[in-house]
Amino acid sequence: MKISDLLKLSLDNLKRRKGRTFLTVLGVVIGTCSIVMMVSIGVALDKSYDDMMEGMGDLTLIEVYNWSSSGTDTQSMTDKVIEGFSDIPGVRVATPLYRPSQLSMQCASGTNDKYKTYADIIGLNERALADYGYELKEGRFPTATDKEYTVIVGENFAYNFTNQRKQYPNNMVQPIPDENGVIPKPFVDVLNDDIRLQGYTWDENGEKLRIEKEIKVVGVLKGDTSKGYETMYGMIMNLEDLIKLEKEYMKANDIKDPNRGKERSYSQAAVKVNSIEDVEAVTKRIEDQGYQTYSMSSIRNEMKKQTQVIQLILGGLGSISLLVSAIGIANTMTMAIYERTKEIGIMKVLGCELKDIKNMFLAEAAGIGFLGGIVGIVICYGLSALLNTLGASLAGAVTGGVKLSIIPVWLAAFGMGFSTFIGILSGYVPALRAVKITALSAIRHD
Amino acid sequence: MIRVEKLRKVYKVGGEKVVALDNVSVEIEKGEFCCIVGTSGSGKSTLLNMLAGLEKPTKGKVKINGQLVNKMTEKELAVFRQNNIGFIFQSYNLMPTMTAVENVAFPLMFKGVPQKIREKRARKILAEMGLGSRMNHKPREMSGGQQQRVGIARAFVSKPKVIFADEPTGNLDSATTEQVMKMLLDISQKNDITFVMVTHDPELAKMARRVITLKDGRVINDTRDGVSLLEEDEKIAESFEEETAGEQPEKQAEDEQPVQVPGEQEVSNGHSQAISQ
Repeated sequence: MKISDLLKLSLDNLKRRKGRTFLTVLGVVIGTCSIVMMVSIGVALDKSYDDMMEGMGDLTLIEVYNWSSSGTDTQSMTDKVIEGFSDIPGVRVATPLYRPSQLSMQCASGTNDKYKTYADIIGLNERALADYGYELKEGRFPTATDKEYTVIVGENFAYNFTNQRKQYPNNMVQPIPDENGVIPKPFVDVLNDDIRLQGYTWDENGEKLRIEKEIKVVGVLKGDTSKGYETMYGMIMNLEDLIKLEKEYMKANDIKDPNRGKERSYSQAAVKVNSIEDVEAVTKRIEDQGYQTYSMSSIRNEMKKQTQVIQLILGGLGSISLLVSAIGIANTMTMAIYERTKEIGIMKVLGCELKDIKNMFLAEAAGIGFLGGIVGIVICYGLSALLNTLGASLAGAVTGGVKLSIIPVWLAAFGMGFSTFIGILSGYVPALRAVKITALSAIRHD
Repeated sequence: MIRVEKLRKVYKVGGEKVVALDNVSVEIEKGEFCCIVGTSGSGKSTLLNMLAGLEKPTKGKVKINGQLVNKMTEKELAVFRQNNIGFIFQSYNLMPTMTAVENVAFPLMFKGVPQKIREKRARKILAEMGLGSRMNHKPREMSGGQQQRVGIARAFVSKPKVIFADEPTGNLDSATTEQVMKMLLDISQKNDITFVMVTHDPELAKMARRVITLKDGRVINDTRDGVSLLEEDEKIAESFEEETAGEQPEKQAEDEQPVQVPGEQEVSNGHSQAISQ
């Protein structure tokens, strides 16, 4: 028997009992709708979490801390250890993130140090800078050939400078557009003006300049709080320069180096991995060595797990009604077989093969499922749009552009495929029953 | 063409055994028009069902064209029916949703004949049977005689070797009965088709060359052109005995016959009575 004939026969049979077919299809429509809508809400939830996470931080960055879990037995995170991190597969770059605890310096510019600001300096391996994911707004990254104290600064670092000769609020400029929409220029052009780092001591005789270093700013970063505060207002210096500077500063101020004689150990390091997929494995390797980590990805994974559970629960709720509609299909098919017992017998006497009879009924059941699936998906897109407009008007500014329901193509395809599959599944037992009807019943049911 | 050897069929009705057919041996030749006659409960319908492979015998053999029908699986039977057998029912048994053309073309669909070809053949045969104006009518829009002619066209359309008919004129008035009988005789002769029909009407049987009369499950008379063939039937039975003498005795003991569901049995009984009325 040709497949086209088989399908036509099944379709004709469905058309015969339009009312009953309609009601059964309606059941599948409701089942498909409930499962697809539930999952679409889960998908939207997942998406909104992702969007939120993306705004919160760099997903491929792992921060490593040297906090001992026991509290007493502090283990060291030396240069060597951090070198070791870069050898872990998937790691693009690993660098200490050195925030000198003893250093307190100011930046000065202009004649007679007219403009000043406190300097928040952080030390990184200079070769890590580009790989680390910092983006430049202007200028360039320092290279190995640059002289000492070549630095890059955060986007709004220049606005830190205050005019020492004026009173608040005229002593500062802020990067806020004025009434004409023009952002005012800062006092200092960091890339071109001379800038000095100054270390002072204070005593009863007032402040006294102890150290002064000429620095050269070669680049301004694009501000991105997800990559750290320093990209906005800080200063990033080559690690070795910073360590040297701190030593000089301690010497000038008679501060004892707490780490004297020991190999230098950092309290914080940063590891940048190639992709989000690497985060989990790399994190585990580092944690196995006894260090603590923090990454947006690990939080994201936790949230993912949560949304997956929510999706599963929602999908499960939705599938209950699809289960009910599956019973509806089975019922309809069983009824149809009772009604058509004689016809099936006649078909057998006329030479119809068993597999064709089985396939005919399976095709009818699949047809009900497929039809219900298609109509259901169409309705779902409508419902989804309605929900999103309604949700947007209700939640308004709170949710912003966040959608309450998203139906990706895979979900639509899955909805149709699943409802067809349910149709076939629930038609299977009735179809087997049809196969068992004997040819003799063609004569018997007079 | 059709050879029946020592056929036996036993039904169980409520724990009691009813012998529907006992020791039936006949041979029907190619192109023969054969009537099986008998009263209600004589076993004539049971014999027809078994010849057509609709029921399995308890003992004995049914051979059509040299093929052992009673040993075929359902799948083999389906293919065998497609290629060798046509069937005409008492109550026409047309598909209610299909037109005359579609009904006649239906058996060809199972053989995988494309729609255009099979409907062309159906139209041709319907036209030959004088139903040219009823081609696209559904069964309920036709008279009984017209419906049965559609049923006959359906049986002939795939050019089978054998056609079985179960009281084909049972639901028709006498004038239409004669028309239909003549038509059956005519077409089967023209196409050299072996035709086996069951009837309770001895008058109707007179139109056939070959008449097999059953009573209580046994052949009591078997004539071709009025000449008795009972002795030859006896020889068939003997040859079967010789053939199976060396073999293991048939395992299908009567007691092993699957117990019939009482409900089904009642329907069957009701049916055979309905035929005789």
